[in-house]
Amino acid sequence: MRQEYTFEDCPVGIETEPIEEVLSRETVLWYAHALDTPNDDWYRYGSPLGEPIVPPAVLRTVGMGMRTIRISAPGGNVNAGTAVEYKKPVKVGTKISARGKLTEKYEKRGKYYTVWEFTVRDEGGDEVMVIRHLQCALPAGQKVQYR
Amino acid sequence: MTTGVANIADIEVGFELPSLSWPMSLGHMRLFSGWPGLNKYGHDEVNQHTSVEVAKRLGRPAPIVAGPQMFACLEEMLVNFFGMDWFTGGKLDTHYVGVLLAGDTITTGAKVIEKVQEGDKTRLEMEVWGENQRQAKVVVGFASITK
Repeated sequence: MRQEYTFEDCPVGIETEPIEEVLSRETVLWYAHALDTPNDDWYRYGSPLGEPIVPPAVLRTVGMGMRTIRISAPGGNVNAGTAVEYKKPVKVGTKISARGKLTEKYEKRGKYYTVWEFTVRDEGGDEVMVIRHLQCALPAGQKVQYR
Repeated sequence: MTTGVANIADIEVGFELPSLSWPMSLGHMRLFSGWPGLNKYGHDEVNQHTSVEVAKRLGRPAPIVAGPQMFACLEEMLVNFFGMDWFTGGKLDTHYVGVLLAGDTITTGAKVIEKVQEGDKTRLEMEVWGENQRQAKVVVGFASITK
């Protein structure tokens, strides 16, 4: 399913494969372990909505179908930034759908940036999250900043 | 436990949200960046966030915490303070400016920098950040909530 492109060849406007996923209790519990958050009760047992809700990180991670398109990078890819608009909570067990596209790409100081925008919807078609993600493809030998 | 009792209208410029800290272990990183359910979308659960070998091959000092995992720490701080209001009126926009390794701790913070009345709604603008145990910033950005 994954398509691989060089930075030069990846066309602005290309869309990711559509994602449809049921955010099951098992999936949410997996991420609840990962998040280890004080909001854990809302994700495991119950929220003010009366039922457990999906952590926003799960909506982002699953909804960003950008993994279906990979930019080849000798130094690997790193996440450079993320912006999210939160529109609606999602109950555990909801089926979400998501689609995204490459909206911009540019080179800056020898690194290659791609901007992706995704919209995540619930099974009623309502927008639950809008995501803009900045990915950076590194050249060979580029170090990351560890302070 | 989620507090989520903030009354946005009562919060003034200069207010700092309660900060939260997360020790990052390789186990947590492997959970966050290694969910096998993403494999069908082209994701490789063996990657620079979960594997010592892959990280070394890419020139990283060790497996690095994924940017979205750091973002999740900011999200959870904001959910913890604003509660369900965050899911319908929140926005978060960040850049990753450093890396975390297993064994590091991230401490998140937010400070209100502007308060705007928009009709019958109030919008708070915040500066947000995450720093490691050496007080070096690893993620910075802005957030807002409108109610």
